[in-house]
Amino acid sequence: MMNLLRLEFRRLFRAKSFYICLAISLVMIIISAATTKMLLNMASSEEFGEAFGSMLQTPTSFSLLKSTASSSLTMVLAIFLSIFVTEDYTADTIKNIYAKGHSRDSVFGAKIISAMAAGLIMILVSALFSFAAGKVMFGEVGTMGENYIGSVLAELVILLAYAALYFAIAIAFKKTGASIAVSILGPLLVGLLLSLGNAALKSDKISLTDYWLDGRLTILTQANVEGKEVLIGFIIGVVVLLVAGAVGFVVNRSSEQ
Amino acid sequence: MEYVIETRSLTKRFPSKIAVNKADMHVEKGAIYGLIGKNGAGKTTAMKMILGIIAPSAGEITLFGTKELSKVRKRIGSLIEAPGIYKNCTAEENMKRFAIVSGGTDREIKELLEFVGLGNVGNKKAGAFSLGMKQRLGIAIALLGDPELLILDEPINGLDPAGIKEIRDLILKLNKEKGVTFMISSHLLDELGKIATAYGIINDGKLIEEISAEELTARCHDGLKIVADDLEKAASLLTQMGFSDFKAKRTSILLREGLDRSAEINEFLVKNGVKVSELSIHSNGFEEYFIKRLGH
Repeated sequence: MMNLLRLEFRRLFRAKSFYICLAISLVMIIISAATTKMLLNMASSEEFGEAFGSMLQTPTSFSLLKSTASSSLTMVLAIFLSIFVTEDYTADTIKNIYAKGHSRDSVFGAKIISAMAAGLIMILVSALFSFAAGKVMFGEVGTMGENYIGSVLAELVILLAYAALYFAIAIAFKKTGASIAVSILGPLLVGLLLSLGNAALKSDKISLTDYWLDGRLTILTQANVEGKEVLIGFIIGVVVLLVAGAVGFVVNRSSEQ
Repeated sequence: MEYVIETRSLTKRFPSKIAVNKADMHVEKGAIYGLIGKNGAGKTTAMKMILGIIAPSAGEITLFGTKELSKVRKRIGSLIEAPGIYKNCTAEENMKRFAIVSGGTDREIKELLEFVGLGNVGNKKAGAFSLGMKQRLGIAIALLGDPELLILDEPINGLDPAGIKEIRDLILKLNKEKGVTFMISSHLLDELGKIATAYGIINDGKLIEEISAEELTARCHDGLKIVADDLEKAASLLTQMGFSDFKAKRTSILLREGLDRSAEINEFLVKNGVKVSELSIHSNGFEEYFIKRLGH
């Protein structure tokens, strides 16, 4: 198992796609922050009325750190993890590993650990970069709300759940293109189906989309999140993470290669 | 008899077909075992099961005398179908990655790359290699960790004649000097015939025969070829000797019996005034034998 982990981490840190995807994620953060700054500048000019200006708030480093999760990070994660996880299957290098007596379970274990580590690195680097970008561009560090740390941690768990979901999809499809397509479109489709469910329910109290990753991330990135919402975020993240991991494990065991 | 590979009723069923059907294989330690069969006969599937790349549907595999296969598979090197290589990496990086799971130092990696003729490829990515270069890299990867058994599926695919000779020499060298056992499949029967010490013939998933190279050579002998000045008289003399299974051709007689009586036949013909210019064992080629065994 240790050798398999060494192999996976060597692959990870020597993968150009890892650094390219990470760089894209950081560029997106800069663009997003720069756009906000431009809008703020425009709002302060006379051309725009006070009404528009009051709609915008100067972001702080803390608020930007939280909003990292709602940016394009999930899409970047989907693309990178699809490329990284399917590489051994598309290049057929996996047979060289199985042929050395490594079980499917230990190969799966090494792959999910390295994939989750890659996801964690991308999330943390993006979050810290957002924080730094906030300080440089707006000069405001800001203050933490009551449930700030809890909501950031819940966001982290949900983003890791996304990573586990993308990993399971890559393990199931084993083809880079198909994996990217399903990873991007699959969660969107679930969101749409839940929206359809909302329409069918016609309830003011329950929103099904709030119980899916995407909807929960939106709630968690808001300024003042209630403790209950944070807890639900944790539960959803952990459940999806475990289910995705288990599905990936079963699919990997049952597949020939 | 010490077997490195032994299978009992090894079977692989796919939804659409039975790829390997109750195969009992025996590969002796130190042998070069040629696995022969048509495309789709089950050679690669059998090799993949032995290596643990796919799971058998039924049957048993014993490697190096044990059924604890995951422990001993480290002692096997393999090249199955197209070589599995990281296309966006150099040959050296590929070797370094697989050395993590197979074993092998930086010095050994360098030596192996030199040995397969990839010592000077520099930073060229493996994806840009020619088919032959990829095959050489696949062989170098298979040789990592000093394996005691090498399972090679069509190892000379894509190699030029010089490359084929190099691989053949390498196989013979490893076999003779290090006692490495080989299981090799190849469509090039003549090439296999130059090195194999035993054969397994597989057809439609069934292992129809296991045969040693000596036995095969003997079975390919189909008679005595007699070239003489008077073939008519020679035929009559053969009849006198009690032979009936022979065929007179335009320039020779093919006697399908009495392979062990060639000296006696020669003496009898010469004593009776027939000048014998050639008396030799007539053989069918390996190819013909295999085609016959495969039912064509």
